[in-house]
Amino acid sequence: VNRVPALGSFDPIDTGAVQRVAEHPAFDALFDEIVGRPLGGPSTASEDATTPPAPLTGPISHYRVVHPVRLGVAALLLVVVAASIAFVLNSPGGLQGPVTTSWRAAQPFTRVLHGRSPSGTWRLTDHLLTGTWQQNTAGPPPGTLSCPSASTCYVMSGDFSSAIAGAQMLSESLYVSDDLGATWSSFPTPSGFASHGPLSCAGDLDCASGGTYQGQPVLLTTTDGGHSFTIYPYPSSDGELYSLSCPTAETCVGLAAMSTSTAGDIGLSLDATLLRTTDGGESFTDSPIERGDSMVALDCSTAANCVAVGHADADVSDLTAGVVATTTDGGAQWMSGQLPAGFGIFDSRLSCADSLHCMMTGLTANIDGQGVVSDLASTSDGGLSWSADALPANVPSPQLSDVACASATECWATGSEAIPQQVGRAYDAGSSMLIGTTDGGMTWSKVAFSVPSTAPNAYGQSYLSIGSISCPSTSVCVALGEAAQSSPTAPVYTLQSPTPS
Amino acid sequence: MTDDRKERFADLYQFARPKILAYVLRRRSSPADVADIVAEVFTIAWRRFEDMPGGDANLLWLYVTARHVLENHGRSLRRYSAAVGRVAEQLARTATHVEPADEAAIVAQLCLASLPEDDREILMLAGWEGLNSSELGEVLRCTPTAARLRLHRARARLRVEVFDNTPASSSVALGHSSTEPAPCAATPREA
Repeated sequence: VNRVPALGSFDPIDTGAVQRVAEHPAFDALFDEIVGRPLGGPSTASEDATTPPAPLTGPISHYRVVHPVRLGVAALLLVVVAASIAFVLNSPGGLQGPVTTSWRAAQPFTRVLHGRSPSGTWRLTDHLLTGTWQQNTAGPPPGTLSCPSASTCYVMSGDFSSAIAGAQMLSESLYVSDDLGATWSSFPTPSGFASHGPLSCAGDLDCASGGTYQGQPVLLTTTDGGHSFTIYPYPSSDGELYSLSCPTAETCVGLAAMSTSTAGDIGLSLDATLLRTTDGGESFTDSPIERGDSMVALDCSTAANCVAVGHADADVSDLTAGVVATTTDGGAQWMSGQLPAGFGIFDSRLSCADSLHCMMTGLTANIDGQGVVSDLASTSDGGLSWSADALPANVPSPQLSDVACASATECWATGSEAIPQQVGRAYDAGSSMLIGTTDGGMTWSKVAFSVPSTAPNAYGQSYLSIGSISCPSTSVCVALGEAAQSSPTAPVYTLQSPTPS
Repeated sequence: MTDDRKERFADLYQFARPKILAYVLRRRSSPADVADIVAEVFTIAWRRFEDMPGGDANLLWLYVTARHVLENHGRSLRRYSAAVGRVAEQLARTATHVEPADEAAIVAQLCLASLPEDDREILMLAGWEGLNSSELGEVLRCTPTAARLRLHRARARLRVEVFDNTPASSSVALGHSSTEPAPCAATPREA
């Protein structure tokens, strides 16, 4: 009985009538009056007081700030890459087997925001590890980050023509940093490849990403740090990879599904298949997860130990009907775990420091009147039982994006909180948020920082939330800010001091 | 001012005026107010045309501007011109608003109007303006993920409101005419 009619069914206006009246000559007269007004006159109260700084600053090409010679070289490289893989496109079925691109040198990555405040690095205040976090404003475009070691971090990121969903992707690149995010180089991925988010790097030279090549689901790998890529097709009937975990260079395990976001637009992936390779992508096995096919996230601490979380198929729209499954034999058999009562799954992320200790993001309801807010849950028995963690009281309405555990006791979670801020010309209702624990989740503390109002924020979203985070070892973490998909750069957050004893 | 600027603005105006008009009509019913607000939105757009992002993003920019103009629109600010008056007159002559189709729609409209402003706005933007998560994030100044979460929360609260205001013995879909649905707090449109 609590079914709500579709919103469109009680739209209070007749859109056809509105369309017709908008074509009346009275609107043409209004146009003439508007454009006839002097441009230099005083602005209106509404404009001065409330018109936001341009929320989008137009299509920004990845190559707009690249030197023309470099652009030419990049174009030539792309042609070579395209030619090297074109031979496989001789059948309607697309890729029939793996294809490897030729070796290419890294391209320096620099971002110059013309006419904006200079990039910079700010030290943050960390109540757990005093003064050890810092942010740098010149990271790669927003994307997914994976740091296999303290010396190497990768980001898979696309450049889009605009921030609008469905905007044309201009290029996709794997960015690499060997100094914990201070400087970056880029490797354009083969033309025609589009990552769908997941990136997992098992070693300093080994990364894998799920995506499509000319629309065909594939696994993209590199074993030389991005200088060359190999595209591995797998059965298209498995769908596209949206979660990926590679505990070794040879073994990658992922969740793939044919359809997503069909259950109430809450980001659910339906009919997920567990896709696994143990030979670096040469061959795949697929199998359903015993319980809860609508899995959201997965992490494997070893080639044998994996944990997956998601929704019960019985009611995928019930956020509190979460399921968790764990395997100790690489996915041949799964055991069901028990989530905390009232703990919901929504766009959850999962991080396992070892075969026993994992942390996940989720939802909990009605904390001090804040409604549904993000929460964390932890396990110390390999995912069989979970307990919800209490988040710091000084984090209003937390919305967590990601979590990374460097050890059984030290984890960090990123996201946003409801603290308004103004950075540059943008006034945001929320702020970036970072919390950490050094006791396995029993207590969490917030890393407090404020962004200088002069920080570059040309795209208005750069400091609204922190997204992907990776902690390759204790007290070594790198996180990437979230921003509009057309933003050419995102802030990088780095933790790089030893934990005090 | 160049002819090129005027031509480009004319293209935008032609494309966006029914959409902005619909946006405002969904939130205000007075023809005079609607005409005034639409004129204000496009006047700001004309002033700041070179600052606009371009392409599809222009429409989102206009939605953001319309939202802020609506928030600031007070009686003391009204300065009707002849052109605005003619638009208002035309709006008054046209049946732009429709009555709810059934009792379920009445309940849903009332319950929507009783929700907090933030919930109401994101539901309307998604359901009526048809924005996706990424576009919602742009208009509401948050990330697409946050927008999806906000939308989900708002839908959940609307569902609770509808459930709480529907007689236990009947379904909203049944539309029992003899049983008045318990009204939600506010009236639609002008909330």
